[in-house]
Amino acid sequence: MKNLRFTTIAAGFSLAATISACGGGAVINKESSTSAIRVAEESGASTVPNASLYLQFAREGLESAKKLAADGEKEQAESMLLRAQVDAELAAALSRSDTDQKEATEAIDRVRKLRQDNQLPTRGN
Amino acid sequence: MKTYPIIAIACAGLLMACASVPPAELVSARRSYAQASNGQANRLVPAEVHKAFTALSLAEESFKNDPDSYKTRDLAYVADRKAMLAEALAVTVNERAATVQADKDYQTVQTQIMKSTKDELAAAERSAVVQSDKLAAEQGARVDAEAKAADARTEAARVKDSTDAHARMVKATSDAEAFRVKGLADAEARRMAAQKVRDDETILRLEKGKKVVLTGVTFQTNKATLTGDSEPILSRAYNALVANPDAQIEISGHTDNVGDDAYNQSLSLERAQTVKNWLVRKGIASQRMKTVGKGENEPVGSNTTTEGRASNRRIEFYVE
Repeated sequence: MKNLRFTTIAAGFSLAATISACGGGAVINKESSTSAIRVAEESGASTVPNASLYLQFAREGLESAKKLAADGEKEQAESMLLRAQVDAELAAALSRSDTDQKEATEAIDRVRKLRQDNQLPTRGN
Repeated sequence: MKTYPIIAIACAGLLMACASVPPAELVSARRSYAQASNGQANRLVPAEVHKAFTALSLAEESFKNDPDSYKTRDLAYVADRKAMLAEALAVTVNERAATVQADKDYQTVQTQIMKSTKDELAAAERSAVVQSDKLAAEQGARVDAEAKAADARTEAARVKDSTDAHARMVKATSDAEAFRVKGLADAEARRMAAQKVRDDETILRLEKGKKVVLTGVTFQTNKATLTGDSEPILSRAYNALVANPDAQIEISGHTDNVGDDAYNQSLSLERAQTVKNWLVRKGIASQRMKTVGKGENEPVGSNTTTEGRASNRRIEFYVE
């Protein structure tokens, strides 16, 4: 009777360990990474060549982190999430920088055109 | 036994050599940080550069402790990206500053243009005022000149009218005087003519229904040509006609009976006509006189004597 009870308990633990190892994986917090990727996408990073490269790195990093987490590599997955997050942040910054560069160029052109239209001397860049 | 320490040292050396080679992520991170810290990022976004430094320090520490670990590579990767992020943010700050400066320049230029335009407008307005004043002055001068010209024309017309009137008056006066003088002269002439007629009246008196013989009017033989002795009596006949302007005269020629009757008839008519012509030349109207040739048909003397035939050769006036 005791052997049967021990055997049953051991089988239960074994099943729980199996289920845990195969279906659940490591739980990681992807919020910061996904949020950073969303911000980058909304800033138009996908349309800026330089920024779109790092946005792609961020997406791939996020996928790698998910895979590592699924494999139970929680620490490595979290480390990979950091990479994805900084890639997304860089993509967003490059996108904004591109926009700012265009706006600055347009503003300078407006000044130059205003000077030309009014026959005022133009200054060099 | 002696080979084991050597192998161990070699392995340790090899391990140390391998451990001293930094991963590519760390190399890249060092380079990126160096660029960020030496460039405009250190001035414009020092906090971001500091974050990159912190991340790089963590990566370096991890590299010391665990060179080949994924953790070292990931920390170096993060440090690399943070350094790049600092660079990108520096560019953003720089571009935004450029935009702000350009906007300020735009406003400055606009202000400059507005001021310039305002100055130009003010100058144009001043010029327009000056021009307007000048035009007004010219207009005033023109109006004055036109008024003066009109006055001058009026004065000239007045003077001309006055002159014309004066001339007309002078002419009228002159005409009146001439008329008066002429009237006086005519009156005197008439008076003298009347006097002369009166003087000659005893010689040639014209009475209606009576015949007057112009004694003394003679012609060359067998011709209708007057002799020089005929002029005085013809002149008296002329005066009589002038003194009696209403008198109508029949001038008749007469001959003696010498010669052919028809010839005498023709000759008497020619002689009557010669007398009429003489009077017409003196100014007596032709229509007051008609001529007729009587030939030898109405003798007043005897044709048998010289005196009788001389009296028969005559010119008579008959007052109708």
